[in-house]
Amino acid sequence: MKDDSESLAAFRRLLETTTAPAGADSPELLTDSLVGPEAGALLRRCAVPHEFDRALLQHLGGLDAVEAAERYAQFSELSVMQINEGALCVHERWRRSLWRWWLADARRAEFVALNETLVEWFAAQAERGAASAARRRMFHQLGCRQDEGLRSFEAMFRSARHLRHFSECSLLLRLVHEYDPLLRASERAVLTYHEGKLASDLRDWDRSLALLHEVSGDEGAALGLRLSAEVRTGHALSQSGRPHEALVVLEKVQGRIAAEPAVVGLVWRVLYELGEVYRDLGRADDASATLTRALASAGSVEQDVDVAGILNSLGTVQLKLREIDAAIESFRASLAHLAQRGDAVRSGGVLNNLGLAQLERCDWQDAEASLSASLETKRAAGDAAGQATALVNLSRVQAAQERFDDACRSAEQAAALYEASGDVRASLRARLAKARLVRRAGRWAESVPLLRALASQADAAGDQATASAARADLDRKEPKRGLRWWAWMLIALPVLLLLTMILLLVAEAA
Amino acid sequence: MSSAAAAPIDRLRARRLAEFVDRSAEMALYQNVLDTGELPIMVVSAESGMGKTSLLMRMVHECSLRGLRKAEVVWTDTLVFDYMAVMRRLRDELGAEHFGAFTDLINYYTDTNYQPRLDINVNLQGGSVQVAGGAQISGSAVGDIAGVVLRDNMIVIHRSDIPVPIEVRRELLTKRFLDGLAALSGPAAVVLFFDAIEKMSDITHQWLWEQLLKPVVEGALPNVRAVLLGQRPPPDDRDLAAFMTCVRLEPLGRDDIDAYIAKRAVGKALSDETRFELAKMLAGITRGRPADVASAVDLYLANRGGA
Repeated sequence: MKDDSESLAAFRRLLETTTAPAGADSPELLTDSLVGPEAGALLRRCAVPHEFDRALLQHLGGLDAVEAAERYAQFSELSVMQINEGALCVHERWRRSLWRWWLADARRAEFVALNETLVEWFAAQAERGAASAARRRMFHQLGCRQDEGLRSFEAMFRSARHLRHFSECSLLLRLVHEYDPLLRASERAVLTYHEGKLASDLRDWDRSLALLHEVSGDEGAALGLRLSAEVRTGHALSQSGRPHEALVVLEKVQGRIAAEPAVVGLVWRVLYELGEVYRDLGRADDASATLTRALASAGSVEQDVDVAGILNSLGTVQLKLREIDAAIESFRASLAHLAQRGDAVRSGGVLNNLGLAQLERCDWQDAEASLSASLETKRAAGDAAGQATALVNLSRVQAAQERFDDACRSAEQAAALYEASGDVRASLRARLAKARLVRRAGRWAESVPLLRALASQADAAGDQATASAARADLDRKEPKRGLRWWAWMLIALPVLLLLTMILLLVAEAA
Repeated sequence: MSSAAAAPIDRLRARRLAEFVDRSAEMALYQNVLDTGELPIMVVSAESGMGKTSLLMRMVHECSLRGLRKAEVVWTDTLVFDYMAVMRRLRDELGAEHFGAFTDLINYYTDTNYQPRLDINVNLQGGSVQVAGGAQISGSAVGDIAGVVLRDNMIVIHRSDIPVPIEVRRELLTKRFLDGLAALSGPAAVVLFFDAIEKMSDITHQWLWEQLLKPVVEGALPNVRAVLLGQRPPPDDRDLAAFMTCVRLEPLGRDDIDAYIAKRAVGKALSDETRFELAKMLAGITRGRPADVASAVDLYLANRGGA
């Protein structure tokens, strides 16, 4: 045994050489000093996958089963190791410096070869159905076949996003970012674009706009990506209540997309976004023309086109333009597309729109059927506000058929559901509708206490519009029953005439 | 994992636990969280290598000593722990038998071959069958049936053929899970641990605080405690802060390092003087960062020669 003071001095020199903490500049020396050169080389390899079990260690080191078990036991004794879901992993503090060490040009050939073996390993795991294996295979593909790895990433990201697995999207982005020092500017822009889309999905508009703006202004990014980022910027602006700014962005990018045959796949999307912005700004004619063009462009693109969404938007615009038959046709086509995709979630909204269009055409039975179907869909979805909207519309259809009791019941249910979902003003408006229906049913006296209560509730809620409307209704006099004065005159005049004639005849006879 | 493969991992856990030093102030705060429940949520934040995971092991061990039910979720770079995976993990660690209604609903939302087993009422206005809805049950949520443990089909992809938006599914699943947790924690405390929370996605972070932990904060689950560890601060919310114990881990002092070396050097014939000098050196070079201290001690022992 060496003398302790001697060993301390030697240790100080070693620590200084490995530039503690964490041996950031010399992971090779640190690992070799910990376990010797042979095991040290294997330990460094273990930092490339995020975690490893005994079988993977065996694969990484080309060991037999006994050697692998021994090495695994030896590594588990080290403080640089952590436990991850029952496997070992190099603690993040050391893995980070080892990862940087691996990414250096000097080790590129060995790094690529190591990742090839890991791709092979995780490909086999993925075939056996291991849950995270496909993701881990993608991670190591990036280390040996970067373009292929990025394609795998994009496919996985698209699939996860489509399924609204946003946590998976976040993890995929985090994994690819580990390769940041090796990524080209254009590839980093792709990641930023996907981060912007994800932020948009999560309705984090400020973050989304900042990321998308970064991409659209990045000269190193591909043209198609920059244009896509601008379209998404328009979407984010529109969704965050800034339609005028969205309009400027989308009109500008539409012109650029039209001039670029290489980005034909973007045409439908920019027209769709633009059409919705026109609609929201009240430019119904522009909206109709633009959405019709979006629909035509969608036909030429094979994947990821939201035809049902375009048709629904077009239908709402046609409804505004009083093109009722066309609107009904659009909504029906939208429903057919949703059914084809097995998307039951969005059909409730489209059914409601269809019911409104049928109501405009005085097609009471069809309107009632559509609105009832919408109501059922929203009930199943547990969507209280959606149910309330469907019930308000249903009450209009029932009133139009003079089924005032049904109409009153629907309006009352709508009011209760609005209240349950916290929308007090909508609840008050539904109650006003109910009071008016009571009057239309000829129950004037019954409507008076309803309107009085409503006026004071609306005052308390600060809803002056509904309070004034209720009071105006209260001031209105009940229409008098019986015949009007002119009708009496019409009856009286011939009688008077007849009497006059009789009197004249009697006088003449006398 | 086979038992042979598990052995080194178990040894590593046991050794780390035995070598745990200091953190007495943090452990005292933690014990206060367990004992009083006045501040039911504890947030431990620190940079990487400051000993969060070792502290977590000690806290979990404390639960074992007290016979408390506990469950851990640790975010990693290899697995996705979204809201559904978090609740599944917590359920499986706390006992699936207490969360039958939750499991049933998760199967309904994900399995196209779903066969109703319990209450599948997702309507606001009736229209479903409720099993055991009016029964008086202890330790189980309403909707569960005594003795029936439903199997989760562990499908992660949501069905698209039922008109329930993802946000609504998340809310209803969380409600079912919390019902199970409420029933389970009624008679005895339950501790939930969340580690490496900086690796959690933003949407899961939001859900965790706004839905899962909300009833804990609001006192609706008086016997539930939650401990979160990581490099991510809790939401900046003064109302929430009133219910949290926040701890920032400090570096180890020289005495703690000395105590750590003493535990590591058992049987290594290390004199008190050498140990003292080594602790002094490591306190300076590692700045008391526990992970660096530990690996430096590894390095020292590996290069000191046979003892």
